[in-house]
Amino acid sequence: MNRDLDIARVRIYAVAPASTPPYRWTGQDGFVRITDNLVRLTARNGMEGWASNTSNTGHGTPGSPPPEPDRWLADRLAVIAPQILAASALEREAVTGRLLRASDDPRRRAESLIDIALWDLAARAADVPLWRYLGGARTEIPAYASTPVFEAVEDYVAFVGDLADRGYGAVKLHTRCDPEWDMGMVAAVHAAHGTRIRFMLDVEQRYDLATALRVGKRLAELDFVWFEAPLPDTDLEGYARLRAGVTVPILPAGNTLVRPEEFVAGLVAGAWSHLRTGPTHAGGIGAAARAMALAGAHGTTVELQSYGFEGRKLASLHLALGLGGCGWFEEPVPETDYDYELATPLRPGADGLMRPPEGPGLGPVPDWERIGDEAFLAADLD
Amino acid sequence: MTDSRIARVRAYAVPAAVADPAGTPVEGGGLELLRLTLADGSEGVASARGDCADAPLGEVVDAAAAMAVGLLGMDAAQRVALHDDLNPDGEATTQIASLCDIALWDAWGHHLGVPVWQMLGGFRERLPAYASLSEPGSLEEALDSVRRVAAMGYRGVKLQMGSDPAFDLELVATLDAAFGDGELQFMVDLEQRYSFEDALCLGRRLSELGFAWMEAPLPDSDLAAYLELNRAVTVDILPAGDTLVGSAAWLEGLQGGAWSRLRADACSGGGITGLLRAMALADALDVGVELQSVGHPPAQAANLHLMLGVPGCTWFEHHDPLRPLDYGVASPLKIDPEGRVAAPEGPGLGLLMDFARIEADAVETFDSAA
Repeated sequence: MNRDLDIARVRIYAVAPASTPPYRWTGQDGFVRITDNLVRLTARNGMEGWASNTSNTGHGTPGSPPPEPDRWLADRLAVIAPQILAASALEREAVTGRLLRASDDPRRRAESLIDIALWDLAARAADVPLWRYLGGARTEIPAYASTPVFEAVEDYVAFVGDLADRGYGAVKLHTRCDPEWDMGMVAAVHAAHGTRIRFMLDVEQRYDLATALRVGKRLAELDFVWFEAPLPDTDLEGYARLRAGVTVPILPAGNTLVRPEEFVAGLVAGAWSHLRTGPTHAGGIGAAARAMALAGAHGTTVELQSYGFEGRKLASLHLALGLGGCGWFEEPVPETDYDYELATPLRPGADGLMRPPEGPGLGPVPDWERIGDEAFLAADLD
Repeated sequence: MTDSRIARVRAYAVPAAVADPAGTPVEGGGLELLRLTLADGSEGVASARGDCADAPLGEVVDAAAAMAVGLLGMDAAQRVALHDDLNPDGEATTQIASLCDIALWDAWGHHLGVPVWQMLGGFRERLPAYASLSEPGSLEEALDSVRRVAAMGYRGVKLQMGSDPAFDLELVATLDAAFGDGELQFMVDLEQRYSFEDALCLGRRLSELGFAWMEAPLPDSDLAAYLELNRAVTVDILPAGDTLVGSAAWLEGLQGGAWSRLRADACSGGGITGLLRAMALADALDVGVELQSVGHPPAQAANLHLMLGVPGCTWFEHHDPLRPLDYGVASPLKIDPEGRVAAPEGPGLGLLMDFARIEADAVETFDSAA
């Protein structure tokens, strides 16, 4: 086999971008700093591939300042990266398979990033965008805006109005996760904008079953696109009972159950209306593609995660366009919070549709000099 | 970027008397070839399975003629879009849809200069091949054939049987007596011709003898009987893989536990795109896959690239290497001294087609440029 694409050098960076404000997942959590973790592979012939994903430690402590930026993912990458030196981007199914089998980490996030970077490199070497390399199922996908948590109902009403003005077809609301307050907020936002934008609600696994049933029925009346993460992802029986009791589509959060057999268990249990995962969690491009095939056989789709910086968005976008079968693309808003890696922001069009960027592989590449300068953690292996 | 849209569609039918002069036991044996040419000159091919007894020679030519208008201008980069258009939800896939997908992957690989197996993921460079032999007329004939393929380097042998259960029991005992101490692995293919009782009897015997698998004892669609059989015997039970096709059917067979491994064919299961999905399902369910590769080299190569590109398979099926079907291809698939097969060098499926000869021999031809 041609050894030009053997991996000769691996660089890892962790950055806490100053342009990304501290984030909280629900109104009950404290704020956390968001870390951007990037992996950069260089082949023997000088070609490069990259991938990135966010990380954060815990959900913060209410009333306390955000903890230090997270380092676990970059540290983990540095531990496993030596295993891919001298492996080829052309044999990525073998490389990633070995990494995943050898892994003692139930999360697959470090392995996932290596795999995505290998696919990026392989598609760059073929001089073709990754979505076309994979299969070119579609050329665009509707984007939904994935919001931060606001304090007041009026903040949501104003913010969603702006999103609708800018062409988004749907918005996913992150919220306080106090059921009565959440239902009031949802009703107010729907009353103000429900004729021109659709909604998802994400409650970050904080409801119990009775609450989820009650809220789920209300969301169905308001024609919500889906109700995400009402219960802990591992509560498959609870999810199955919820789904049996409501008509609004039910999705898990997608961060905990990431292995193929876990997807099978959820689908067989009838726990979820759609599978939820992403290439940055499931084990990379190949693993996410298999999850999409599994969902298809069960007559449903995967709603890919892409809340984060451009690298995470690009990996999911290329998969969704390359293989099809996804309903929506997740765009974090305000968009500027997650503009860090690339010179040109990656945004949906004024028609609310997300299209692929130009160029081979994932498309654009970060300014590595700037990223190296701003990294609070960097590793260089060759 | 150069133009990767389909600019020309051609198809050929070459009768068995020419394409299969050795007279393989495969029914049909004629070559039915689809040939797509992209605007930049890249080409892709796919051939029908060799055993379409129910499909008269010329079916691919007729189907290509009917579809050509829809194919012309289609971008090979968007082959999954075409696959999903041609295989709408819940419908069984058609042969021509499978062949279009395979030819598009081949053409796309040529366009990029990348072998298909590397595009799929590059899981491994080679895997072991077994010789798949036709039903022997006698014990002596079987022993002779097995000795010959073993001498060629094959480490596995599958025998077609199923006409006479009593003979089959004698045959497997004879094979075990002659080769049981060696390294050859054996499989049997019963062509869906057994009763449940006969299948149970032979299955128990094969379990004792350590055969690798028992294939197609019963009609593929009888999942309940497959499940009962699979529970009762140790030897792996595989379906024929021709009847239950498509994601929903594969899921039903695998999830219910009817089959020890999935069996399917890119040429009838939705092409490379369809089989990638089948193999993804099997992977999620921790079930192995044994792909068919019946027919001429383009059919064999489509399945081989899948076996090499993604994990799941253990053996490449080499149909009757004593009477190879290598008409029209300058680069037929061969085993190495260790009995393994690799993808031929070169982009796409890596086949060097002798189109001049095929065009001269074809009794039916379609050409969108004609």
